[in-house]
Amino acid sequence: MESGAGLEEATRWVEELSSRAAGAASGAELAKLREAVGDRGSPLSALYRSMKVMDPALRPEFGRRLQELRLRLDQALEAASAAISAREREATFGAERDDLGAYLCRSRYEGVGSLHLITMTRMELEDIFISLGYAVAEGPEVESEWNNFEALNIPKFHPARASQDSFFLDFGEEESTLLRTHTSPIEIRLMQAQKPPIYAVAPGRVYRRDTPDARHTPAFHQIEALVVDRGISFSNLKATIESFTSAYFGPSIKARLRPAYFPFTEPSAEFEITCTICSGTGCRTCSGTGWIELGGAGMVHPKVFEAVGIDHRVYSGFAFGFGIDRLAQMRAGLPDMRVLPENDLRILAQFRGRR
Amino acid sequence: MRITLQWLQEFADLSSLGFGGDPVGSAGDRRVAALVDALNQLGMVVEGVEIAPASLDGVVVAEVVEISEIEGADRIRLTGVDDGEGRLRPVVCGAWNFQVGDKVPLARPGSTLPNGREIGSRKLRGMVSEGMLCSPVEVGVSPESGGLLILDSSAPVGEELASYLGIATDVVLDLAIEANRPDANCVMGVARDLAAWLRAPFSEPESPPVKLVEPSRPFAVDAAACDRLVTAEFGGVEGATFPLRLVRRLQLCGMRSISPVVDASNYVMLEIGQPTHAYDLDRLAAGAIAVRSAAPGERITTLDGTERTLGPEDICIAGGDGAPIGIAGVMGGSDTEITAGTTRMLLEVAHFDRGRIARTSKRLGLRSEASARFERGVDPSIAEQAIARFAQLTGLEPQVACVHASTYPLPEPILVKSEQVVAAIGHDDPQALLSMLEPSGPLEAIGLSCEPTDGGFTVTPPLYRPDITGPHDVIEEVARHFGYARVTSRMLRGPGAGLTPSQRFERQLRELLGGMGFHETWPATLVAPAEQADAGTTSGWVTLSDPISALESTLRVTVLSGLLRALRHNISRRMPAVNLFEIGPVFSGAGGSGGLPREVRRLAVLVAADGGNGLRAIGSVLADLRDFSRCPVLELAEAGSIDGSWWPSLHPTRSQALLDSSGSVVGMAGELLGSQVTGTASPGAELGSLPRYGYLEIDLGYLDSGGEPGRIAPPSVYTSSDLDFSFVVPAGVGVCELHSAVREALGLVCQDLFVFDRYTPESSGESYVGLRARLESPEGVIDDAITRELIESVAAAAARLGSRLRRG
Ligand SMILES: [Zn+2]
Repeated sequence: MESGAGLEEATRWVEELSSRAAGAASGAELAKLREAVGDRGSPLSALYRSMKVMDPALRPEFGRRLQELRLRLDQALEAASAAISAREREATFGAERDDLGAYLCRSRYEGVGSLHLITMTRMELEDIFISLGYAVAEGPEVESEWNNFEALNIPKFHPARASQDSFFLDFGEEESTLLRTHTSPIEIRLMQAQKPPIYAVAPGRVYRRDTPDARHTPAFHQIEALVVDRGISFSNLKATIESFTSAYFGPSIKARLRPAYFPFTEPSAEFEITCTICSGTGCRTCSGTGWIELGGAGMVHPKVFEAVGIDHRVYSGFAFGFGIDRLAQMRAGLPDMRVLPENDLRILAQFRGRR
Repeated sequence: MRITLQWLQEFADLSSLGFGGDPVGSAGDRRVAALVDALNQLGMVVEGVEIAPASLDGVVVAEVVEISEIEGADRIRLTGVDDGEGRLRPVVCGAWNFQVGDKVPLARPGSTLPNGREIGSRKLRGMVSEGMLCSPVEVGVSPESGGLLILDSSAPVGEELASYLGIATDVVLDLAIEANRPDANCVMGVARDLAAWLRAPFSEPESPPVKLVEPSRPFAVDAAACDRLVTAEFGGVEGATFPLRLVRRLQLCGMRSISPVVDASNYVMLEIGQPTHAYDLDRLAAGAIAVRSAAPGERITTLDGTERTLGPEDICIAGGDGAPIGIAGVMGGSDTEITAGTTRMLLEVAHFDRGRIARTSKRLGLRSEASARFERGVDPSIAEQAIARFAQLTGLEPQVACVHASTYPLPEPILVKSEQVVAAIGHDDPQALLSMLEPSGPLEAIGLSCEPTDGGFTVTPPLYRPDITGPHDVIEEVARHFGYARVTSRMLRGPGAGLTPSQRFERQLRELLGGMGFHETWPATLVAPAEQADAGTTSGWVTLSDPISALESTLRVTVLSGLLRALRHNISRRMPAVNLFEIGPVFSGAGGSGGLPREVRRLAVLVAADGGNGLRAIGSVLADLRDFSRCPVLELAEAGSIDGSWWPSLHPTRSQALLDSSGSVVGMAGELLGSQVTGTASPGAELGSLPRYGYLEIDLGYLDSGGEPGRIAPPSVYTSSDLDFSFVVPAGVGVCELHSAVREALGLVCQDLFVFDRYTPESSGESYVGLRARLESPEGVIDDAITRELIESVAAAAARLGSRLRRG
């Protein structure tokens, strides 16, 4: 039967086309095959046309067979097309493959910078005093002999001058200007400029003519708190030192005061805190005492008030101060302070992210 | 200052601390800890505690009965000693300073000496030696060896040496005494304070009193230099003695034993605080001394053999002939010092002007135990006590003791109001505070006489507390003896000012620069002159009078001079990617005020440029800083056209000065010279594989002058458009100038304007600059008509600068 032979040929053609589609390497090759399917001369088209002249009784069955062939062909082409897209996708993204790890493994000297360890420590200390209601005061590093010594009740030949061996400058009268040896002249300036009440903290860089060692550099940093108001007493000083200590070091670290001597305060005290290394049980850092000395404190001496023109019968005040560098050193576990002036990037890069 | 526990106990009853029973075994002894705590709470800080064990168990007094040679040995001999056990004990000995009949210390086998040496029986050259005969060093009474310790012939054979000498295990305390505690520079003063704190009895050991007489011929004393002079003459000095147990005590306190007379003088000073000076009376002209100011240029050779020149500020001791023989209170002269041959001596016990002793000792760089005490303050009334103690210790009898001067003033009474005490200390139990001042209270115990008066006390300090001159000094003593630890804590808060806008700005600026990849540096403010020159400053800096090193001898005029050190350090460590910033001061000798040099705070930024252009790298940083700080528009000027003495000088064609609106220089930005990077002399130094570096230094105050930002403007809802302009710009017209002229011409619709293209042909004075404007209006779309108008006004603005807008 003619139509039977036509179907067999069309079946072979569909199979051949399907296998060529499966082997197609590109979308363009597949498009050519699709053209061949749509071509009027294709065996399938010819059979469709032949249906018009066929016995109507045979048509449904023949039409169903043709439809099946058509479906097989479309599915084969569709599958081939999907395979080609997948290959193309693979090619595109495969070429862009990358590894996040490669970007994490960069040189430690690249990337964000850092604030200096001293800056971070200073800001943290300032913030504690700000939270206690204090302002932050500043002053110049070069000072007059009067602001640095005389006004602080340290006259010439006073033994306290010898203990603060100074860098005097070849400027003005002999020994009239120097690099400040402590942050106290900031307080002198503050008391001259502002009427009480004064609640301020004065951080800054100071200089002493000492031979550098693991814990000392000739330039270093101090912070000093000053309160001048009516009715300020030693008990206020004590409480302030205690609350500063627990705010900065945590509630397990205690502060204590013991008598000391400073020309600019009276009564004067040295203040100590629980050793942060051994928590008070005694170790080498604290020479077995469980305490480490942090700084000096006391009630502002009437002679200092006289020097700055504040009436000590009306006002009283206290001051206390300590070194910033030592706190920074303790906190960061820096073994030797003498590396800091070198500004070595291997050190500076380690300051990143310290808070 | 080193003192010992037993010495303290001679003055103060320490039984309330538990002392008096078992001897102290270790530095961790509970009683020692309590003593240390008490001293610390009094402000006499204990810096060290050492146990000094007597360690003389098994060391006894022995008599040398026979001495015989050992065959074949010429350094050692065999002795037979009697140690009270009824037989001759053979002991081999290497010393030669003894003879038969001498009493010497014998360490029996099984004993351990203070230096840790264990003594046993041993065989030497075939002889059995049962123990060892000891030197002063070996039994711990002196640092000097010189053969055996020869004991007094009355020493009882067989007695334990420790009990014979009166030596027991002691504790040495190293105290830090503050400058306002002259009384505490001696054992007696420490003990007095401690006893008052413990509310325990205090007593001074008694010495046979010395009779003082009016001198038949008073020595000349300048009252302004010396307000007390007492002298005592002693004969038979060669027979002076000094107890061995006290030699050990001096040694524990860090004093070398010299001779009985010197040892006794030192002992008196450590014990009661009074320095004394001994002269050989036979070498003293006319047997007299005088106290006067030195003449200008007067010379003297001091005990240490150094010739020193004196001036009228110095107090000098002169001999009877007027020639200088000593620097008062500081150091004696070599001509009149006592020697081994001295038989007659004059002991000088004086009270000199504190300030003058301090100045002399500072000027001469001569600080002695005596000068340290004189400059802090010695009790002028204890001269006779010092002589009596000296006589007692040496066994010498003063032949005559005279007061030549006694003009010292008595302390002034101080009126202290009770309310003042309470207000200053603030303890919440005022009565407890005031009880310190009551009769037989602690202040009385430390010598302050406290008379109750209306509403307070009249307090008269003792002569040994010259530091107490006003009510605050008394209040400090009240607080000290009340106990700082007992004072109530009263919390206090300030009014809460917070940071100033400038302080906030500075913090944010630091955070910004850190975020931009820069590390903040430790400012090198002290630099070498060569570093100043490298940064472009050749003069005008301030120099330190007495620098530690030439490398840190001047105050930097530019931040760069200090930063170059950091740059070169990191390059030398093979880390050339140096990105640093710093906020810190610079100083100049000119232009300061208030008698001080000029001091200005600046920001500096150093950036390693990826490409070959440091100016481009730093320009981008400056643009960020400008936007961040909102500082007013900067004018740029050729670096060569300004007075640069106060600023770094950089690459001549890749640097520009930054000017504020008034034309003052506020900064400098550009590329570092090769020579600045490498530190070599040639300005065009080869950088090799090093990058170029951009650098910026700018006044912090200028950066901070931008004020608060305005309100945030909402963006336009209408479509924006870009408009590109291309200009031909003549030499001498800066891009910034063109930019601001164009921006002004475009007016409010210009939302953004930036350089998108720039080209400078070689051998041409002109350059080509492309600017792209983003145009946007809140009122509507920018149409062609508006655009044409804008182009015309831009062209006109450019023309006014001598620049030409290219069209087409
Ligand atoms: Zn510790």
